[in-house]
Amino acid sequence: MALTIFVWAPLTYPGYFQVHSGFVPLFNLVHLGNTPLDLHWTPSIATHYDAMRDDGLLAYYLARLLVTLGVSPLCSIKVVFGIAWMLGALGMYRWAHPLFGAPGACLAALVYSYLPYRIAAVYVRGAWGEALCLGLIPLGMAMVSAAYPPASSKRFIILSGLTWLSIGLSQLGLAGWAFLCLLGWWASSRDRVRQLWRLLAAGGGCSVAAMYMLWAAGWHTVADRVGFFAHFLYPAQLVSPYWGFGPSRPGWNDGLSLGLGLAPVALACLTLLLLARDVRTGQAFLSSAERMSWRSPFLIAAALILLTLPISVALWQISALWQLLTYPWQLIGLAGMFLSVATGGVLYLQPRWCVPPMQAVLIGFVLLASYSYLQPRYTQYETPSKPLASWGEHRILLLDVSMEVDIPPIAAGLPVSTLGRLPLDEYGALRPGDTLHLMLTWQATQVLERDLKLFVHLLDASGNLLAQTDPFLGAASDPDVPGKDYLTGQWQPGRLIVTDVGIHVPIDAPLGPYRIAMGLYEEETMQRWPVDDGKDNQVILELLEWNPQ
Amino acid sequence: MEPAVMSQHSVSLRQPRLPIGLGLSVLLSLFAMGPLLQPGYFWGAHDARNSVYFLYEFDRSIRDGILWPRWGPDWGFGYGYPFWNIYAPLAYYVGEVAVLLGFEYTVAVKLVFALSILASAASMYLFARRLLGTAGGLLASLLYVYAPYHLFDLYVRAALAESFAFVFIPLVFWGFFELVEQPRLRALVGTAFAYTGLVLTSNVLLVLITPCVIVYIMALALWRAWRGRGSGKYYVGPVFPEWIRHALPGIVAFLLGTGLQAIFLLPALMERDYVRLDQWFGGRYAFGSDFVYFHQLFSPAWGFGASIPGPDDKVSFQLGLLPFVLFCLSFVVVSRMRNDAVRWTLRFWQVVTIGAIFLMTPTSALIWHRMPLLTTVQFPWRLGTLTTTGFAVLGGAIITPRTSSLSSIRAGELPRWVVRSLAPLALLIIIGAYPYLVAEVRDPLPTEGPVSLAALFRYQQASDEMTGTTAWARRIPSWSPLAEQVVRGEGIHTKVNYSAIPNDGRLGVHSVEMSTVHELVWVYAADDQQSVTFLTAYYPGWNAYVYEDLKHPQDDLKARIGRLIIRPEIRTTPDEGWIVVPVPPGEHFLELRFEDTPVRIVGKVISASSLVLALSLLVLDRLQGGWKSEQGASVS
Repeated sequence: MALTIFVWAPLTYPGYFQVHSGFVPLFNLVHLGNTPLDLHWTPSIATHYDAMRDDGLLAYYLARLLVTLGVSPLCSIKVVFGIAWMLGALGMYRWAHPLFGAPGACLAALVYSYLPYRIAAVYVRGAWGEALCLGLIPLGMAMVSAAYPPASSKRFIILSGLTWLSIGLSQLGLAGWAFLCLLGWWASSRDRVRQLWRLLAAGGGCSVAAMYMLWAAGWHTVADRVGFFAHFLYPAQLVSPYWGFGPSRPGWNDGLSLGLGLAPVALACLTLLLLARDVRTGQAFLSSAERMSWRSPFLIAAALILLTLPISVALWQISALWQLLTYPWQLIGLAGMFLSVATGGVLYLQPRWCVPPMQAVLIGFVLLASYSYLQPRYTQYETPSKPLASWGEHRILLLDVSMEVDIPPIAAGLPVSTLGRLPLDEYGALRPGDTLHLMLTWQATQVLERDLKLFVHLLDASGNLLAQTDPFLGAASDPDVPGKDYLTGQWQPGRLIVTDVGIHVPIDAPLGPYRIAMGLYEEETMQRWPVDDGKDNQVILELLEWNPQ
Repeated sequence: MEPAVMSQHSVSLRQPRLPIGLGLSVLLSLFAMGPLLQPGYFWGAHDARNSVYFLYEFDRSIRDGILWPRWGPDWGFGYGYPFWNIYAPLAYYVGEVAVLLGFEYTVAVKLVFALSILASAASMYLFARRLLGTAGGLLASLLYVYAPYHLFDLYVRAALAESFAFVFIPLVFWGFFELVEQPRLRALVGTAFAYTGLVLTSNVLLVLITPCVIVYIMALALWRAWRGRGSGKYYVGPVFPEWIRHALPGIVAFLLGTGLQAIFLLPALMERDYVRLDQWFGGRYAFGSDFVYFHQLFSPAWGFGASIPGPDDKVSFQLGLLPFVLFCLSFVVVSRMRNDAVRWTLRFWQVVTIGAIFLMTPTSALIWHRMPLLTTVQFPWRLGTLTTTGFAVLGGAIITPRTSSLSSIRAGELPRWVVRSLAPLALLIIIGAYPYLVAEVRDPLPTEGPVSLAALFRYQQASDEMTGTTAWARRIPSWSPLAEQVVRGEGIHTKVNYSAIPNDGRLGVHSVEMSTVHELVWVYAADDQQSVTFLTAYYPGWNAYVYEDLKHPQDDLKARIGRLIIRPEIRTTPDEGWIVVPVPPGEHFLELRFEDTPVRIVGKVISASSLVLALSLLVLDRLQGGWKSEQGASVS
């Protein structure tokens, strides 16, 4: 547990991360906090909730509990992420301990904690439901497969049911897949009979979770939003060291890491080699049942990996199991989990390595392999309780608008204009001749295929157009390179983008009050994007009236 | 004493032969020198320019024949500053050797950095080998050299003094360990010299390490007294004399070291307040906003930017992955160690390391504010020197067999698992640090170099560095006529402020000669109301002397200097703190000289006496050794 510190230390940053899910979990947590107890509650701010594929409700309710205890919403979300890491390490240790003993279990727990996929799920994707689910699944596996409780242990049966209920409530679709894996694991187990009741309890827990989630969401699921079948992995991606913060794209060029990780693959291969050596020399595992139980993590991992590759398309289509997941590569988390448990075999099969220096080598290798990934994109942006507006079914969120005015000569008391600006609040009402700057903070939650244009209209009190500007959204707004364009087609989900749009009030314009109407449109078709949850395709910002008296 | 019959509490002096482990530790530290082997210099590193120009100034003084420089003549745009009076100079002596051998200033600085890497690897090896054997020593030396904070000091901060101080830290703790475990004269003198080396290298480490050293001596001695009491023979009272007896050699070495340092330490402490301390501890050097946030300790991020308030520093304060992993594992290993002395030394380092980590984080702010002296370290992350040392020693413990006596750890007797795990561990340590072995080498900007007096003044103006002034100045200079003169291509041949001389003929001044610490002028004053102003910041030690002008020979001014007439009392200008010397009527010679104050003289005397004592003790030790070996020969 102490050695997982590197993976959860970024959570202690006094701020948040620019992750694909953006601030949507936060908006909804705040919404949940402001909502009286309603068992029908599902996330609805800046999202169309999909009970099967989206973050489950458990993460929200856990965080809500923390908020009730006085923890800030942002901190609560990070605590849930931390709980997910801890549970993952603990669960993996519990699962692997009966198989490989303490040193092996410790290694497996570390490998699982530093699994690149899990790191990406937290610090790149911000998928807190999935992170919690992946944290709970090893515990669920441990509950069912543990050899030590007696077959009739009611406590373990209840715990098994509750754990799998939690897994289901964390991320329903992934829980379904995890349960299928559990079935595979159970089928290869030597203690099938002893584990049967716990397996049934697990299935029961999962079913209850599914029924509740679907009931809360109104018995409907959302259609495939991203094109599931375009997101299979290429084999090179599985072993690639690439790390990025971009989105998943159709084809091979995904913007984020979807690899299995060097440490899980290398150590699992080492386990296989040691196993082969022992089998060849007749040192261990004489019974076929034992061999099978050793092979099962490899077989399940291999099957899961296979299902992330394009060759498995037909299988997905026939089974319709694709409806459980957003992307096929989500199975990498489960595959990584099985590889992780297999890595524990290294120290079991090579007990001479159970000395501190060699353990240090193995632990150092595991941590070093993922160390460079532990640099999230931090932000200290003060998050609003909900977005001001969103477009394209919540694909683009407008988080904040601040308005500044170029300091005109009179206001500054200078004979020539300066580069200075004043916040509109301090400046007062806008007047003819002024230049207003809108500092718009945006965040995309999904990939945008095209470069959108922003229209900003200055209207008088009657709604007549006084001035307008139509820049590409993101012009000269690259967060990394000041002054460089960062148009919407390039936007990475979760990235905070601040655009500075200036609009000049004509000198002959009537006196205020003025209003700003703004919105998005596609240049090719001149079609405006409707504002989500709104009746119009533009957002109106009221400006103060200027009284010359 | 044979290893086989040694008590489990004792630590033998016999060790495996040095060359293999020492050679390996030095050899494997060569990777850390990689960035220094690049041509050019890392001008952009935080203190890289300071390091070069400090050496430049140091060299100016040495070439003027001043063997223990105290006054930096070109600080503050040429007004001067008693920099070496309050800043430890040892690293610059080493650099000066390179300069005198003909190396450029930048190359000399790089040589000091390189030497610090190799020497620190060797010193940590020697210390850790004493505790942990060859393998542990080797591992500790690698952890020490490749620690992120050490690399940060070398290549991001380019902090010459602090980097060089890494050489002495292990030696100091090794020495005090010896003095408690196996006290002898050679160790006593060696420890005193090591502690002196540390203090004369870095002021900051004087503040950080000295309390640790004191606690270390007392804790080790207490433990030694406690374990020597037998099985419950007596209690706390009788332990006390034993405690003092075991601590005494360490205390003597500490005092001897303090005596050796007096030449620097005494003036630095007593005359520190005569400079503008706000320039050292105010503004961006003010304590309080540069704590390390928890996530930063474990972040792999690396950068060459600045330490800024808040959690978004552009530099890395990471503890290091491998060092931390080994530190965690040390808690498993140390408790199983059978050698008490080693176990308790390692426990001491565990406590120190945890304490240092805690003190780096904002949660410790209250403690810092309760100890104002501690805040002179400016940045809490400087405790990285302690965590680096702790991690190295404790990391080395991982590979140490649980033997009852260290002398049994011979190169040929290393268990196979030690040999097997040493190579991969060493490799991991180097690989873990590899991405950080980078320096930002670039050409100097016009405001940085190439090294010259004009470049120094431009650097001072552009960076507001080396603009220190004395407590007599109200206004911190931002430029000077001297600097202007140099930038125009002229030299500084006099610091007399001719603009303050009235043009009515009542005062005439002609500079005869000038060095970094004195100026001789011929002066004519029509009445007793005249004074000569020097463009030199006043500081205790500046004295003025008025000599008779013998009037002949006419063509040799220096030969005309007669007897001392008066020592006028120096005044200062109100804002700048420049030296103003009233002169008597008539024609005279006036000499302004920077000399030792009584405090500096006392410091020098104490240091010289301590040095004589230390050398005498060494001679005594040698004689005793010779006498004993003669005795042994006659017996055999």
